[in-house]
Amino acid sequence: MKLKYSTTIFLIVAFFGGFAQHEITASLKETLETPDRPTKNAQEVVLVTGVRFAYPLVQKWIDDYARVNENVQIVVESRGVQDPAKYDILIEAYEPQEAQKKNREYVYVARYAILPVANSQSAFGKTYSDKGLDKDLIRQVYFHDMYADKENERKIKSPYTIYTRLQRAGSPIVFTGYFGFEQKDLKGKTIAGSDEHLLKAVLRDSTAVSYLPLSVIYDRATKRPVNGLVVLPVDLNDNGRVSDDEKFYDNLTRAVEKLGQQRSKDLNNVPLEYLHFSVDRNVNPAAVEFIRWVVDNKLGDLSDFGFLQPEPEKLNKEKFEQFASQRTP
Amino acid sequence: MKRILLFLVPVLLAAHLAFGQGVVEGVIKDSDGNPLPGATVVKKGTSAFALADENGDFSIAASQEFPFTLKISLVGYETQEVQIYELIDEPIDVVLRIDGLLDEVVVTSRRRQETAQEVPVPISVVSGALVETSGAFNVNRVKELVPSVQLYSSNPRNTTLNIRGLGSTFGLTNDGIDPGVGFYVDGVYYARPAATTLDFIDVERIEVLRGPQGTLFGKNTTAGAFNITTRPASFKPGAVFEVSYGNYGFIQAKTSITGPLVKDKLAARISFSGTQRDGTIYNVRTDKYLNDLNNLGIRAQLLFTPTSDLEITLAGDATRQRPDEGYTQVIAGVVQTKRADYRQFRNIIADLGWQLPSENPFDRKVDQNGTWRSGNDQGGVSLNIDWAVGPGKLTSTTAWRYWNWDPLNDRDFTGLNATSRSQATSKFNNWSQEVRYAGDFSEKLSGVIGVFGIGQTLKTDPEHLEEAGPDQWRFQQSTTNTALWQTPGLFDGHGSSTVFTLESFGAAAFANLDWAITPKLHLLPGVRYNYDRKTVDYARTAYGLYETEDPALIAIRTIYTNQAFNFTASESNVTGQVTLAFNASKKAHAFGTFSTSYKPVGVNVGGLPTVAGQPDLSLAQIKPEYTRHIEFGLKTSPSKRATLNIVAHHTEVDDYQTLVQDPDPALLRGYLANAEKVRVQGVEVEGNAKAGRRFSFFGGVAYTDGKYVTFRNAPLPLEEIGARNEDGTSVPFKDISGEELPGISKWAGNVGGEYSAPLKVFNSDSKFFIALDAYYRSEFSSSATPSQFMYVDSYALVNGRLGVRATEGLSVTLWARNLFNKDYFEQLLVAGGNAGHYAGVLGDPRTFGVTIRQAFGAK
Repeated sequence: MKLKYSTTIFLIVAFFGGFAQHEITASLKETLETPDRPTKNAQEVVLVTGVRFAYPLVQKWIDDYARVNENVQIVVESRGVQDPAKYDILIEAYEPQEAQKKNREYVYVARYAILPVANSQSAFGKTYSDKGLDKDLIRQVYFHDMYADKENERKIKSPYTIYTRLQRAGSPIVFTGYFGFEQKDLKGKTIAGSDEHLLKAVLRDSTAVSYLPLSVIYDRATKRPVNGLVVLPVDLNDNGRVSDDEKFYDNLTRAVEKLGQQRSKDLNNVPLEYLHFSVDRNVNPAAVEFIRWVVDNKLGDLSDFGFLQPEPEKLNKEKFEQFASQRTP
Repeated sequence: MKRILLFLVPVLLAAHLAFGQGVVEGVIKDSDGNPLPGATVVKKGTSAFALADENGDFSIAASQEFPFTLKISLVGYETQEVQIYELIDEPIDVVLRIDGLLDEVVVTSRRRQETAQEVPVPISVVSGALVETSGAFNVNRVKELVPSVQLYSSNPRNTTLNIRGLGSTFGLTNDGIDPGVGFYVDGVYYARPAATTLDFIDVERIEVLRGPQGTLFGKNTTAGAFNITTRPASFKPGAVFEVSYGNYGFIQAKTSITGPLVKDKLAARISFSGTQRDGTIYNVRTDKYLNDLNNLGIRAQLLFTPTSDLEITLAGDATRQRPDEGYTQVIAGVVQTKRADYRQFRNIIADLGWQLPSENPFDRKVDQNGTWRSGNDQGGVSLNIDWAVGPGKLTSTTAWRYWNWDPLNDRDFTGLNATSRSQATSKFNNWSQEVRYAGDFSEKLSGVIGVFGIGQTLKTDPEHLEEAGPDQWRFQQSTTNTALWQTPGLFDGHGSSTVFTLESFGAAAFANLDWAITPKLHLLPGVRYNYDRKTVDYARTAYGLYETEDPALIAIRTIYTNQAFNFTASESNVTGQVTLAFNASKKAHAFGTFSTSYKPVGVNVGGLPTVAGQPDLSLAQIKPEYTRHIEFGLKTSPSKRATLNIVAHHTEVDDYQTLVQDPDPALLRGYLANAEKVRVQGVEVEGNAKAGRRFSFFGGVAYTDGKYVTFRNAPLPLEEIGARNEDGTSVPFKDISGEELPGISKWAGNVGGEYSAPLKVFNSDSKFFIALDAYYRSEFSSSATPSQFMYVDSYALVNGRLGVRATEGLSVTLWARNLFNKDYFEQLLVAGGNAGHYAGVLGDPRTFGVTIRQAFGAK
């Protein structure tokens, strides 16, 4: 009889142990992903979440801010399906929706560009890093287009496999929307993961072709595209061919400079979109103060991280400043 | 205790692992956002897989290591691969696109979802979309899309559905035999051939299986099967409204509404179909147009899904055909028989003061004094239970169906009153129960195994009546003593009343397995046990016999005699098949099949011939039919844009059940008999292709050669009626061994093409399309015994349509059938009494119109 009770108890322990282990693993994972967890001594905690390709840039700003304001601990967390109200600051990679504009305060902090890329070993990458892609070819290569004139499509001899992100997220929405499609119209294999995971997938397949934001394409240390990746130049002036002066992607600084010196509307075949910070109108004043500090002092960091300066009229700085002055002492 | 701990530690660890491991959840949809139930999710490199449920949702355990790949597939759609780099706490959305090249056609005839090209069975598939856009709203019109199918219908009872020329008797039919082509709708066997005259309601797909399929289906099918799948109830709300207008007053309206009643548990669909059209044949006597259509049908379904493994469908349908005067036949020609001049048809009608309204049957004129009535009511209820158990699915299909037939015919086809009444009203009902288990039992073995039972009751309602009229004397006259035959009232009012009940019971066990000896080589054995029993109680009573003491009149006054018999006949046997299939590659699948099949005893319930004044009771029951069949097929996909299939077949039938047309006017519909042996062989080629994104084509050719190998006592052809031997005795029969079988064109084929291009209509995705298809068949014999006159000439029909169609939203189609207004016969029939005239079932003239369709949500 005793023996049976023991067995039962062990099984119950095993059962709940499983749950416990699951919770512990999740907790550990969370801890590992957020090394800058607030310390017991911190007086203010500001939680930030949003588009992941901006995390390195935002983390740099957080680190710098910590040096000028020790009383505020700013933490970046991966976004899940939790209530967004949990977060003080949202970093979004596309234009805020009308409802958001009405209910939240926001400020554009950077522009970013999305470019076609390929595995550098691929025949496709080798061919088209030289020839470049014009609008028709981009549409043909990347999208299922039921209205396309298939009879007159160009012949592509190099094999290729399109890789794209599965979840609705900034870069696929911006890339597909720019060319007049929806995310479901993208061809190829899909990746459940972030832009960084998309990069990994491209590097693993020698036929891979994809699209990535500049901040993910380049290795910040070398300022060159990540080893194994090649950028496919596009027809910037939309004249139907890619000329030599449209090929400047071997160096991050040069790429940012070339793209940044033109206004968004004057650039063709490069999806350009804004990164913005948004806050609830009743947000912790410390969050507002952090954003104000970034806008006033840190936009000079953008190019090092693969972002372009916002166009002055888009910055929305004054409106946010007005809001900030009401929320902060 | 130590032992227990040793046992429990692994359990504990396993539990940890199980709960520590995540799950990938997602939903699979098509590009229009419709869920794709049945889509397969396989974790690449492992044997783990999951199936999407009716909402397209799936769940599969994640791997320990990232990334891992999920391969998501569904036949007819492009396979999608998703590489999982991290687990996310929301379901992933997977969109499968319809294959932009040549759609893979999915079939379920082997009781599991398969690609038609990979099934080692000759199978033609007509999609619901083609049925809708081509106006092929019943089997008679679908036959133009499948060259191996023949359908002859002079009215719903007298309907013959054949495949490769085999299946049922040609010409008029007899309620006492079983059809050889199985007609299944959602797994329910429709026992009477009249079902094939009904308008389709909500058809999703028609699969036509050629050759015996006894080891796949509950009811035996000696010649092939029609497997029709209708649209099920959907948990996603949707509705389709469709209305067509055409010449000859054609109006057809269809509605189908579906949606959930209880979220994820109970859904319903209700569908209506109504068709009407004015007559196409003018009766000069009554100033009316005959051959009109007037059909109404309803179908309702409830789908209950208490768990993800269990699906219960309760369905009911009722169809009523009430044409004013439908199924009219015209006199197609007059033949000089071997009888004396005064017995020739033209002399008979001249003496009676009547003449043909036209010598050209295609003038579409008749002069008929009788009324044509064909009240045809059919319906039933069925309960289908699908339960996913183990590696397969257990299915139970319970059904009850009825058929009420209320006809009235002008069987002399003239304005004379020779046959004043021909009315064989019948009531029929049947129950059936099938239980089967089908699935992939292991990596190497798949198949279906099942049992089936059916009980049928057919009875007169309340009696079958045949009655002679005042002009009958001249048709009966067989001596030159006209005054004697013209005796007033000699035949007028003389008739027969027939009352019978036929009870049939059939039971079967069947199995069909697919054993993958190697990935490329498959052996498919099949076996079937049949038990059939028929009990008949038949009585024909003559009435109105002319009362006379005159021996001369007594000798000639009788047309109808009393006939009575009752018996029970039963038969049991084992039939089977074996197929060897070789899948050389994804592009080529070859197979060879040998099978045997059987059709139960037939019972003559249309009257027996008389010998020396007495009914020939030996013909009350005719022998079962036994079939041996062999075929070789090759299914190929020369490219992703084309399929090309070829099948060669050879079938021999012993004791072929046929219908003999007798000169005896008391046997207006003929009687059943056995031909000793027949043989049908041929070659079929069919294919589909796409050219570019905009053009698609289909086509097929069937060469069929059908012969009586031995039939010594065949009926005489019409032109030989009255033939006499050298000694002056009449010739009763003819040896037609080696001659051709009726209803089989040596060549039949079709070809069609469509151009389509995307189009935005009211901001929704639509397609403009223009399509043309043509159907051809060479001449064929339209008489049980070949007659030099009773041949239907070859004909070709061209149909066309153009319009805008949308998956959701508004579709408009302009259509025309028989575009070049070709005059043709569908069938020729010898008129009762064999006086020399024969009737024809006219094909429809050119019809054209417009169909407007509005669809919302689920289809």
